[in-house]
Amino acid sequence: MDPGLVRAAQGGDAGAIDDLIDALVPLVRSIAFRVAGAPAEDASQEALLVIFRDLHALRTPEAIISWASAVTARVVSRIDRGDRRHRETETALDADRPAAWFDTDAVEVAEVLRRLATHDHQLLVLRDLHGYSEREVADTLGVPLGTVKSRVHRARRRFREEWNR
Amino acid sequence: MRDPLVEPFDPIARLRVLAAALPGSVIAERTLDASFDQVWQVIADLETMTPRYEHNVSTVEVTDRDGARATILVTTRTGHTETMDVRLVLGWCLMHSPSTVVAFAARDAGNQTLLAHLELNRTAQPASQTGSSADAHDKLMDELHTIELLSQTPDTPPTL
Repeated sequence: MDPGLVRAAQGGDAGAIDDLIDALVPLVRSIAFRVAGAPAEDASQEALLVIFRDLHALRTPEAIISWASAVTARVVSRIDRGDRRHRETETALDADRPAAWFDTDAVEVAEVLRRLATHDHQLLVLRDLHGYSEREVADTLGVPLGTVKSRVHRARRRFREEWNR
Repeated sequence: MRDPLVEPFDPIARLRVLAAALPGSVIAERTLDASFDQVWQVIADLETMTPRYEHNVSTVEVTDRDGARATILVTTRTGHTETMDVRLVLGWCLMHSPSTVVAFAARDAGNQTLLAHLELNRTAQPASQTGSSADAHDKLMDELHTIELLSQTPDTPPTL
């Protein structure tokens, strides 16, 4: 995504904001769907409101995708926690392929994610759902690279434990 | 069944997001007693209709048009002229210059239409400092009411 478009939007250019909305809607809907486990248009709209309300605070326009992804995951997760019920599953997970976890039933994945701590949830969405590098996750969340490495390891272990519960 | 991930983004939601990104902007919403087509006919007719619901505007001239994008020259009642960029698609109209932003969003509601309206005037003092946010909102509501009347009788000026 063009960082110039993001900078123009941050500067209050209404046309750039309009174009940036178009650019981010598919991303936000996709993440909302994955996190909530179903089309979540209301949650997507709420996430977009937060993204554009806080856009001026984004210091690195080049990071717009990872930042907007993290904001969306956080907002949708918060909303989703409040209105979804627990569902059990017996599906097995391939411990060696975390990214494949998200190819299984999205509803069940979302339910397990919801049971994790928020920072574990965010890490897994960014790292394994969206395939960000550990460096990109570190930049997005504003934590050291070494911290991301250890937290991802722990978050995956917790996810497996919750999944098999 | 249509894929919800590729559905057009709701114009009313788009206007609210735009407002979130534009501190100082004022928005108003009203359900108009007119069909979506009637309302959108008024909004899309920039040259004829804008001066009829926006009393600060004397004339609007479309100077360039390329699909959904256009450029307009707006002349106010005081003689000030301003060039604005326009994006006009069904249900969404955005007009903006460095100093002014105006937007309309419409959603079909059966025999009625939900119409939302946003304005931002960067040359004026922020409403929060002048205490005029209520006045600004009233102005938008008046314009929405006028648009409702124009939509019901698009060929005649409204009786206010």
